[in-house]
Amino acid sequence: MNETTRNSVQKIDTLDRLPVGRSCEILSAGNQSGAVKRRLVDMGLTPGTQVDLVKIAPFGDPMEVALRGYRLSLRKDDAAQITVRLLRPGETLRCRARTLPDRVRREEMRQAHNHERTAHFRKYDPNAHDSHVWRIALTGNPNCGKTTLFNALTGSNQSVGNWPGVTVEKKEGAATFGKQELTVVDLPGIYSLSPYSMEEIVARNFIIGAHPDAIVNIVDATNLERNLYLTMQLLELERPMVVALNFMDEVEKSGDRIDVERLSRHLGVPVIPISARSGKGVDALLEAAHRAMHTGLTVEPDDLYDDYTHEIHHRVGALIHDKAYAADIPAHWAAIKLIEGDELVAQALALSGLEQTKLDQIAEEYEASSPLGDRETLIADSRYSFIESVVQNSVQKAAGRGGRSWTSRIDAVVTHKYLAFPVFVAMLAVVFWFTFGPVGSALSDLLAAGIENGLTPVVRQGLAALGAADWAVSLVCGGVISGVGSVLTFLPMIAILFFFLSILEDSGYMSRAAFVMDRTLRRFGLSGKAFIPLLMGFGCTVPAVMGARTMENEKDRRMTIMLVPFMSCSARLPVYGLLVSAFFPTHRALIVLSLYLLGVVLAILSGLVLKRFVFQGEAAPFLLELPPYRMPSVRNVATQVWEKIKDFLSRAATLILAMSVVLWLLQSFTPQGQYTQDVSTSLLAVLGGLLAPLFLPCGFGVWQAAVALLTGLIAKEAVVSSMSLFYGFSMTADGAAVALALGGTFTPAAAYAFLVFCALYTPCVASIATIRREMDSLKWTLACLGWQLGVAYAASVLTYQIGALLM
Amino acid sequence: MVLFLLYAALAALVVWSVGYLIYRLFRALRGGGCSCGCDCGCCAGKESCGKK
Repeated sequence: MNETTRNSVQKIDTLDRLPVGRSCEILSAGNQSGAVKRRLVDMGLTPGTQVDLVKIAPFGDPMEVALRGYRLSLRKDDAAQITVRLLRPGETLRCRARTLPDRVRREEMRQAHNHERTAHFRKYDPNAHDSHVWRIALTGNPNCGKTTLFNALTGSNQSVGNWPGVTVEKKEGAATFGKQELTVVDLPGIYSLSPYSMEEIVARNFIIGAHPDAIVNIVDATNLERNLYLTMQLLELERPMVVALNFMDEVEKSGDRIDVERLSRHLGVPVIPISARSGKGVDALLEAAHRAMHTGLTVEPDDLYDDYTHEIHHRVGALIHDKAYAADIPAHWAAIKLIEGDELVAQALALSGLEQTKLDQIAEEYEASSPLGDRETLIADSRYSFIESVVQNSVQKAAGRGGRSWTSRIDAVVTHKYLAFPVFVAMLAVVFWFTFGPVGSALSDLLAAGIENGLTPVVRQGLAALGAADWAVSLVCGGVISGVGSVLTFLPMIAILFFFLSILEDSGYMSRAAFVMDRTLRRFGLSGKAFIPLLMGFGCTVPAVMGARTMENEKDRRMTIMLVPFMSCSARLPVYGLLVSAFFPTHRALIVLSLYLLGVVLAILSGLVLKRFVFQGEAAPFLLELPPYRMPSVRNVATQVWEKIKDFLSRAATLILAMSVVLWLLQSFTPQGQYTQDVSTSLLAVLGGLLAPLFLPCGFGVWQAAVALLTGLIAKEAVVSSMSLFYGFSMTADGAAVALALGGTFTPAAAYAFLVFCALYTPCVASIATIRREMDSLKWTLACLGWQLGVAYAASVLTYQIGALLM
Repeated sequence: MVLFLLYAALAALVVWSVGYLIYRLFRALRGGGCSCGCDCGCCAGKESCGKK
């Protein structure tokens, strides 16, 4: 190799400039932002690690890298904070594994902790009467199978998926061991015990503060190295703990072998191989957890850290020991967290000025001991080098495994530079075609016909036979059945949509869709994960708003929820159809398309405005693990669809029913309390009359339009049925007849302004209730609805005023 | 008798509907509702109540 080439391959650069297919060695990671740096280090991007650039997303960002046996997606901005040394083609870094202690040394280490065993000794008796209901905390990296294990242990039906971040809150369930009842707590997936994100704080607070009787650390056996990083931190807590090696069936299938006993010996805790999906090994795991909580002692391996870090750890431990006990925080763990610079632990311990100074001195001394960098990196490096030693000693990779994995083959197409976007669009087109096309529509129509032609006449006849009064027939048929029924007709669409989404979630494609779309959406202040909920908004706002749960960051999630209603839902189509055929019969498609585009444009503008004034601040880093593809489980898909159906039905039977009855009351009684069948004299018409002047600048300042828009709050299709009732045209009337009926109050400009208002204004009550639940804040819900209403009103006024000038 | 029961049921439905909407409104103002989605309101939106 000549000198020029040698220089070019040896040069020091940043990760974002690494050519595709090449490898590098990390020299330092992220010195600009504390949060990003911590996450990068937690994900294993520590100095000395080899990183291979697999590919760049089709729009030029983010990038997919392979390290420590897994794949990670990160933005170029974040990669630019990582300094690397380019490796020569074919060059691989040698494992930096430390020499693990031999049998004699292990015995010495064991003897050194004898006093702790004596002090904490408890004899295991599986039949001992439990004084309280024991609690087991399930913890592990995102997407390692915690919720699947939780469901297997408790018989619950919690939502699971093959992408990181399905569980964002802790959930409790009951399991039984023999005759004893245990509480199992499913915690959100975390990469470390550093308080980086909301779910990490939830998990950390529970593990530290709630004192679970045993910790079950679920480890993805197919990705041992990265998963064991959290295990190291849990070992530091020195609490009763068991490691569950999940996906062992996949490991066996791949031909790899994990020496479970040896792994357990190195970690110093029981390791139980399981397959949460099939339930294999789950009983043994429960028994091991039960044993651990009864014997109650875990001793962190003495060789977890290198000798100098170990010494520093003990010096800090001696400094804060008493305060940690007083604050009820594990002293051992608190010491290491303080070395890392964890501010929350420092606050909890309330260190004196002198203690803080001593701590800073020790930390500075520690940092000066190595050229690797800061103390956080030093600790992470020490943990990872122990992990590398343990993995090297316990895992035997299958020999001669050539060829590409299924994941690589599928990714070659779905994240391909040119094919990724067409594949993504085609996949969504198929989902939408089934959901809102002939299949979904036919099922919805069938249900609607069943309600309208089957249920309603039967009930009407039954009531007539009983001699029920007009108001009773009207309440049951016109209020309850019509109101709830119009919402229930969407049930098949919801079921179909969630059937496909569950398959996509379970397969691992969702992470790839976010990877492909991240660059485009970041321009509007959103993450790539926002694309799917936004697209779902064209179908129905309710599942779309719920779909925003996939966002890992609260700011992104709220912003996505605020933008979803701008996507014109399918329930607005009948309104467009009615007015477009009446007023714009020669330009129907163009006018309808303009309404859809207007929604998209205003969502983009709203995104830019919200990003500039409301959701300010640094963009959340997009560090997303790209999990291997897995065959969707029939049980998971069926459970998810059933849960969504149940949720939808329960809302229809409560909120929608109550709203329908109240609306019926308002449209069936006069302000004097007299029952009336003439809607124009009803309380609703009076209320509409009060609102009508507000719409004068929009060109439709009549009570009929105001009331129609009000009823549209129950369901958007109600706008059409209200107008047909007020203006006296039948649902099957042609465009000319409708135009004639509306002609007295609507001009073409007013009709278009009305359409614009309909396309943009507040979504239906089912959506509002969903927004309220997902926002979990009345203030944010009102802000969202206010923003929608304001934008719709302004757009409608502008449309009418400009239209009136032109026409 | 059947008619009387029907009217009583419908009257109860109307009262329940108005009451339920008022209850939901007050609960929304109070910041209630389970973020786990079970909607029982027992955990005031802080974390999952574990009922689901």
